[in-house]
Amino acid sequence: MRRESQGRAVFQPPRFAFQMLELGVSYVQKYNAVEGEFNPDRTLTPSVFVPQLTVIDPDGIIPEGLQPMVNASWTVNGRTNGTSWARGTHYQVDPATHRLTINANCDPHYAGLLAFHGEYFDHRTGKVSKFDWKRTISCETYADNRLSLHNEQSKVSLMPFKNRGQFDQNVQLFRGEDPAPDGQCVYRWRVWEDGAFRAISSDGHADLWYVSGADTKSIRVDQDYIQHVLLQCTAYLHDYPDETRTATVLLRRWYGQYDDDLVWLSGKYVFPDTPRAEAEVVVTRRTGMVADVMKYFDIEILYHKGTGQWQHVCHGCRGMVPRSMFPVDGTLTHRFGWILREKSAKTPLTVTVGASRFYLTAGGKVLTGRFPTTAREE
Amino acid sequence: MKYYIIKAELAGRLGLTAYRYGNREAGYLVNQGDLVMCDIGQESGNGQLKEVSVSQARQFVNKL
Repeated sequence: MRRESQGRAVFQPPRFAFQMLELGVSYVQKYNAVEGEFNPDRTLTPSVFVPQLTVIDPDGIIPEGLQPMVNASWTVNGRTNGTSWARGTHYQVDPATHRLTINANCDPHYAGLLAFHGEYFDHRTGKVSKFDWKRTISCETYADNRLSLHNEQSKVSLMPFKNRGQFDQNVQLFRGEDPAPDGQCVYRWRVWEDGAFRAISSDGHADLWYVSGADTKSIRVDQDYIQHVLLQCTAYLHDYPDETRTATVLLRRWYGQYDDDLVWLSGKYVFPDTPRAEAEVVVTRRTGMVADVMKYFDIEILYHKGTGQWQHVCHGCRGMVPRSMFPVDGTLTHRFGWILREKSAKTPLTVTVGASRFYLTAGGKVLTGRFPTTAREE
Repeated sequence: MKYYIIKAELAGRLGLTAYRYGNREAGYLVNQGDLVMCDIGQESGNGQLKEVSVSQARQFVNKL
């Protein structure tokens, strides 16, 4: 009887290196609820997954490099607009390389899953090695409102000597770092009066300083009528009326630094033939002497002959007293005095009857005047 | 997120042609995450890329 003893090939076990190549992938998307945009948007820049298996055979029989897998399958669990992802529509799988391309955005707050299973069949030994990979995918909602209202200036000092006429005061609503489009924004300007902000009146009486734009981001005002106007702008996005932002700006008439002085034009030294004494009030600023000084100041000139009371001479920048007012006693010194007060912006003239206030008008227009802003000092 | 259309040459250099929408003539649509390895300012100056809005990016994809 013949007897046999079999021999067989012995292979060292191969080593495997399995990896999932991720190209342009983000597992967590962000959904900007304000813009309605995904970040990143996979319909524009898809997420791509490529499974790769490298087999290293110590015996050198299996060629080095990437090896194909068998029984490969993807489980793709995602949802867009409530619809589960479908192959060919929301994602594609390359049958040769098993490359997965997702070109759909995941619904916010939906937890999806990506899973891959692949096998390697060792033809030499008939042994099967299995490889699995999985990740969760999701999408978070965020409202990138971060609203802020930017104000050009919070205080605007308007010098009467430099009349800007009508000018704009601007604000801008920002969402994040970008200006919010005007079409999406609401702006409301209000004015401070009697301890509260109220709507701006466009009746041409109460708010003469107002020109236009009370419901835009640029309100136009007229310097001539601005003495002290505190404005507040409230802004919000159409779709988020509860998220308001406010900014205030103070518009004020401001004279800045100036000096006033009196110059004797004649009669400072009294000679027998001196007929009168005359003096002029001058105002100087850093840039020079103020011309047309009565336009900006209320000036009263007084005269004192050395005894008795100060006497009123005139309202104006130039005053004159005749010789007859001079002191009789030659030992006495005479002098001019002056009271200089800043004039207000144009102020409407009103008449109050009981609890009601009426505007004085002429030809349909409100009459205005400029008045000293401080009380007269005695 | 910012989107850019980059020239095919740059896309090739960055290895993006395999998985981003585009072609040799039109260029490739990428996002800022794809460009972390390059100097966007310099490439922009060289005319290799231009930033596009989301709507422009959609138009680009739809025209391909």
